[in-house]
Amino acid sequence: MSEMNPSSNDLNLAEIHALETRLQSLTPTAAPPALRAQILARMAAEKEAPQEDAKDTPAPARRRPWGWTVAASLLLSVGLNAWATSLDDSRHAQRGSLGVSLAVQETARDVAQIAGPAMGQWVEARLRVAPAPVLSLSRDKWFQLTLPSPVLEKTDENLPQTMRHPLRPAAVRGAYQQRGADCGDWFVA
Amino acid sequence: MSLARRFAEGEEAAAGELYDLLADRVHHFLVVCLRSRQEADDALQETFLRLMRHRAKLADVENLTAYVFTVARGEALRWLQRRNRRAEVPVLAAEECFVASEINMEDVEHVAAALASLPQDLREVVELKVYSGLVLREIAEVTGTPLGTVASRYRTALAKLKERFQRCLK
Repeated sequence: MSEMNPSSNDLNLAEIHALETRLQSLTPTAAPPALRAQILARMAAEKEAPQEDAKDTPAPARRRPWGWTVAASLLLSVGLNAWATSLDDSRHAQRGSLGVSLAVQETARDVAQIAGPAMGQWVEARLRVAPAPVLSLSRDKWFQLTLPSPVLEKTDENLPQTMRHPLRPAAVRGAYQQRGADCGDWFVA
Repeated sequence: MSLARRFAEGEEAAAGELYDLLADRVHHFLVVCLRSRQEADDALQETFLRLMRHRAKLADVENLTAYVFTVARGEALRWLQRRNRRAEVPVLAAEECFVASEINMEDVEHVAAALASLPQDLREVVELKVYSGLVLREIAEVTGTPLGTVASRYRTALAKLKERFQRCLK
């Protein structure tokens, strides 16, 4: 009858059995007899009503909006794509092909009028593949701030240079100047 | 075919059989939980209506008794939540829980008072074990508590009852 461990909580099996017997000597009250007919009648009425979780009952459309959501998303994406394409086309019509500014096109046109169409195409191709570098003021300041201090120091040429050839530039300065030379004259202000 | 499956398929007599099998035990459990026979009547009705409303689920139920007590316990908790908003805690007399006569009136009051002195979680286990006839594994399923916890609560409850009975004897 009991599922207890006899050695638990200072109660042995006999004590547990005695306690359970004493508790079970009392008879719990039952449900009122009139309640049975009332509940069974309500259950019969409930049975006639449509069951909430019946498997063969299709769910209302509003409970599954995923199809409508996907269709609306597709329509929206197609509309946005068409709008973006038309906007891109209008920009191309105004400014020419992507990557070639109006100034380059005008320059190439002028060259073509003077030196011929082949030279004009060549000039446009050269200007297209080598866009002018853009250097912002903040980037210039950043270079100045990140330069190591010995580079910015001015050495006295009258003082003898030991362990280094006097004409040899500092390593950082050399790299810095080389990078500036690679990018054109944009760095040397 | 099992009663649960017959009930799930909507057999006429299954509802009556289910009520006769479990209604008295569930009603007593609800009386103890809600401390009111009137509210226990209503909660019992709601329990069986809920079972009928969701009867398709009973086809997959392995332990019908534990399932019905789980539904009843959920219904009792809903009633208690509603009552907590009103902040009313009724007092339950011993005669409302147990059948009392002139012969055993003193013993009924004694045991009822001892049970009433237990914390709710301990009393719930004792009621389900002793008066509802559930085994500890079923109680664990009904209360959603680990089996070890249920067993520990049952031991603790019996130890407290033993202390109380011994104190009264002295």
